[in-house]
Amino acid sequence: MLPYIIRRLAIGAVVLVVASFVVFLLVSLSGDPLAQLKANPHIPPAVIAQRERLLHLNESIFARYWIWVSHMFRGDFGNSIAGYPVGPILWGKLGVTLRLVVGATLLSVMFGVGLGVISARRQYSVVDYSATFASFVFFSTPVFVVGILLKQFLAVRVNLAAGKTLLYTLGQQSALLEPSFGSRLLDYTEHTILPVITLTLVTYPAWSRYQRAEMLDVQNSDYIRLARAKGLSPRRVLVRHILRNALIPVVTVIGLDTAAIFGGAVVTESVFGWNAMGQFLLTGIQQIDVNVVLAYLMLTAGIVILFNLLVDIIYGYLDPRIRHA
Amino acid sequence: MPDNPGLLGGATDPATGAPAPSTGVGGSTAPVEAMPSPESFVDTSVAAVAARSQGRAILRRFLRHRLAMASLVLFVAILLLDEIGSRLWPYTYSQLTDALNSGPTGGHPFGTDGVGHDMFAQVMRASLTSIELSLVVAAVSMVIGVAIGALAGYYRSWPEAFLMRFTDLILTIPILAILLVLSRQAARHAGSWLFIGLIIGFVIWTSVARLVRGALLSLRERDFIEAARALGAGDGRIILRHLLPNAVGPIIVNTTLSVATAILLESTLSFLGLGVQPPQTSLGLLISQNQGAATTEWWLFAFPAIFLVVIVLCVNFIGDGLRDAFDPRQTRVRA
Amino acid sequence: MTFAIDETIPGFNVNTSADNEFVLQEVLNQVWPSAFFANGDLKPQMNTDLLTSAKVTSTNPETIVYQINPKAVWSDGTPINADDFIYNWQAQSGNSAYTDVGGKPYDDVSTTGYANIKSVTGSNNGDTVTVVFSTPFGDWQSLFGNIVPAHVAKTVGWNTGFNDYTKVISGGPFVISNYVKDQTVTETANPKWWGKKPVLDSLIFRILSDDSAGPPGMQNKEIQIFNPSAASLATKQALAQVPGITSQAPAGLEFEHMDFSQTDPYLAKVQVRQALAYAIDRQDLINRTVGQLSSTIKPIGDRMFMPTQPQYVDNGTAYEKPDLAKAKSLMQAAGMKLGTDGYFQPTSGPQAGKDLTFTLSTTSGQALRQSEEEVVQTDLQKLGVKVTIQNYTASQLFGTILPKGEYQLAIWAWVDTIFPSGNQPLYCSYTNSQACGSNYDHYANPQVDNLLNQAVATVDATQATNLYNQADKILWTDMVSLPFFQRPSQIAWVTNLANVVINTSNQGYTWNAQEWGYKAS
Repeated sequence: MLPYIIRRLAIGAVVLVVASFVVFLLVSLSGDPLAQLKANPHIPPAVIAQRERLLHLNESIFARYWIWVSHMFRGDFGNSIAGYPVGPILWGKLGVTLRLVVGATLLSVMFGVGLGVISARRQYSVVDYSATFASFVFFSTPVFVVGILLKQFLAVRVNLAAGKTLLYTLGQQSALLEPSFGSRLLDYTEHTILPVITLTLVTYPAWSRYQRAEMLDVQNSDYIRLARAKGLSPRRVLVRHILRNALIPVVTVIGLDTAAIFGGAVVTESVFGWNAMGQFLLTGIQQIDVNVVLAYLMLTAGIVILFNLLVDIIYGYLDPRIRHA
Repeated sequence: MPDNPGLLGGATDPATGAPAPSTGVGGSTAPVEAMPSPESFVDTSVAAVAARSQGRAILRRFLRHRLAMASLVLFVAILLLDEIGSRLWPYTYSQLTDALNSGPTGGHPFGTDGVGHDMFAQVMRASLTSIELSLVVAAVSMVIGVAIGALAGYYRSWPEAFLMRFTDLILTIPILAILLVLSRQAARHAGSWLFIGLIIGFVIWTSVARLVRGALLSLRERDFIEAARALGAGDGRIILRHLLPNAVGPIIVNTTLSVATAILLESTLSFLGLGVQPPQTSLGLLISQNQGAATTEWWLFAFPAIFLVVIVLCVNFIGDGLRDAFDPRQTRVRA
Repeated sequence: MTFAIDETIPGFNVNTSADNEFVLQEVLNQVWPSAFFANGDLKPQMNTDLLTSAKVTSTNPETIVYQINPKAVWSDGTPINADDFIYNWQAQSGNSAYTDVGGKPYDDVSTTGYANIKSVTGSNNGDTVTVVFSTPFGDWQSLFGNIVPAHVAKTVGWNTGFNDYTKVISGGPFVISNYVKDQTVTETANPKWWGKKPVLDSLIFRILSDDSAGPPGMQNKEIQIFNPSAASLATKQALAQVPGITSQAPAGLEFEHMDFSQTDPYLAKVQVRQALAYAIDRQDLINRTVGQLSSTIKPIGDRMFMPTQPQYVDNGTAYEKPDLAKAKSLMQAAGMKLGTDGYFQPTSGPQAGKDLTFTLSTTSGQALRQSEEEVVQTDLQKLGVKVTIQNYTASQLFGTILPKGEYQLAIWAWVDTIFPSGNQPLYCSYTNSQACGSNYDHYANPQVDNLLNQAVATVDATQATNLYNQADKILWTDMVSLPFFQRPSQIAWVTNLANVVINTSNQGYTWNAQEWGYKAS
């Protein structure tokens, strides 16, 4: 097990180094981050020269990459163009984004697996057809359209009906937070509900389709027929035999989708005005802030690699046939 | 364990054709289900007859798939409306009419915006661009995917290593983030739809490649390939004439689904301001330009959004129908 | 009270190039003291809390004497005095003899005016400040805005020291009590404030990256005052559906205009520029765009002052109405032949014998500008000139394309302040010097240079206004650029918030926030 984990992590590290170099080149070559400053006739050249030195823009692109890599290995993500250390900002934003990503992942698992199981158990029923059709519709709708519709129609109506703000559409929390843990939690929840629903609606369809297909495969397999023939209770057959076996491939799909959920979070955060990792990435790209973009990519990629490793380990427990060499 | 587990270990099991990575932009994993078993294809001297009857069977199964057929008809209808309708329509998409902020009327069935654009002409033009763009994506990703997948599956060695590492990369970093970085370059190309199409194509080819590789890995050891080789067939001939035709089903299904993925990805890039730029237009661009009007001048937001969802939905249903047609064992999970 | 602002804040010293953002001024109006500020009538007004008087005591050499209110103190208890004036001058003087902590050069967004100062001296226990200029500077009231505390800046540094909000001590009615980067700035009453106590307990600035989030945010009572980054019809209509709010679209001090690069051989001819100007129906352009936000917006006839300013004069009466016939004859006078396909063809130069085609550029991603381009394209097509559109991101357009003159026609906005001296670098003769670097069109007219030089050095406001307008008349004759219209800004606030007074200058809407308060209901 341990050599396997080490090998996987080593491969991940190599991929990250190559990716970081390519992204570094792409972002750095896409323009001059100080172009607008240079165009301002009022700004003395000495100021610009100083900013250039600070950002190492006076050095070759390879030298700049080397500076980035060597800092990176010391756990330092470097400074943004505005002069802030990127690392601490990013860690703060990660916590906010994780509220959305973890919430949407959990809800999508519940929805996806739940609907998949129900659809498969009642194959060709009205429930099955409507669930399938809904899955296809959400599967075919861009995440920002879902978000805009929820924000513009659902939130306004719910709040109007309730007579107070239950569903917030702006930002990840209120500006003035009560210090108590309870009211903080409530405030976070009220701000997180709509974004989580948005991201869930575009994430669960694939999982539920997959779950349904796997369920049907397992249901009709010989060993389930055998289990039924043995006279096991239907409930026991469902839980112990069908569900357990049908869950295995779905776990993999969830692992594979982690990166996609982070991608979807970028858009969702943008729709709901969250200042989290998505906004960090987008402004980084716009301002040609290479340290910011790389920090985002390294952090998300790191999380995805670790999460997938975790998934594979779980996989090993779920499916006794798989033993990692 | 596959001997080259990659970052995702068992997930990329070649024999089953792993699920495609998802896009995270609405519509996540496109579940590409099991490959047609090699046993179901027979490549011998009777191949011509077998292939013809098999092709007919696939076509018959597809034609019987009502939802897929209806979607195909609707998709073709939209395409014809875009192509022909926009030529006959009295306004072009960039023309400024004298009706400003008009709701849907007889003369302007989809209304007009503040500058005086006829929204019908705009939606027609935008759908066409979105579809054209997605076809570019499909073509690019299929060509790259089949080429690299075939090389990886047949020769192993460096094409396989490249494919697997690139796949790892794509599965590790959100596709959207990669595209955002790449499309920042597009500003120089004035947000041309062709450029956007090319970069999406260059990023999403991995699922086709992995399917092809998976198919070839199991096929290349089979007797009929040995036979072909013994008869002196070269590598190129073996790949093109004997191996790839047996993987044609998943390639077609996957390419179809990549059309849907491409339209969604383009619209998301446009929403974030890094996609197609005016004066060109696309459905994603129209939606993002008019998102603030959703509750006021609803026609500006609703029509492009409906067209986008319907087009993507059609493509997904067609893909679903094709999958069932190519792999009859899966028909029972058909929706 | 939550105010939605549209950009993130890099740091809190608005006079540095790194931090200079409009929104930051709105955040800091109640924190850093300023000698003068722009009031709702777009006139400079003395800050009577900070100063008891500010007078020109001599014009040769120009000398200003400021009397500081003896009660004025920073929120840490240190008195505000001449040392602060001296430090703020030195930091923005552009003189390399003065350096920031660690010997670094000062990062300034502008040295205009400060560079003209010979000396700043304190007397009367630091309460009297005497400023002597080496070269005269008419807009002296623009100086000593957003004064930072010298005693803090000297230790933490001018350039980046105020990135840390805890170092931002206040000389105004509010003090920054919390700052969550990219999210919110919270200001509460300054306990050491010597002036009239503000009505509101706190001001919260919430950073909002997307305008379309504003109306639902107001509807949900998440924000009480909202100033979108770009005014739009969609926002106006969405705001109209929100109950209990007041929404306006006042014409701002920035104006959209189309420029002609005179490095292009055809646009170098004045007749061609005039012809294009006559072909464009500016009223129609307004009707299709900003006219839907505010019916008071009209084509403008002055580049130096906006119609909402008292100094405005219509110098462009000749171009009031489009005149296609006149435009066509001007094209012919410039040596263009009308081809059989209805397009003009030059008889010489790079496009000889071909349909005359110009490239029109602007910043990408801005709906208003794209609409302007389409109207221009349509109008010029009627004249017989083809237009292709090629847009760039803001940093590309302003960073490369315009400064290098790599364009033919371009649309962008100039943001005026209430101080007209900012117009000089835009129109003075193009040379390679820094001073006229914003004259991207490479226009040159010694008469204009002369008038602008005089205007900038004139202390008498009426006389200066006259000189600026004379220069503008020549700019109209030479058709240097075609001004379109004032860009409206957009502002919405909950109606029971009292004393919100429109201020379209770069002072921002919070200029009098200490007077805001909720009406008793």
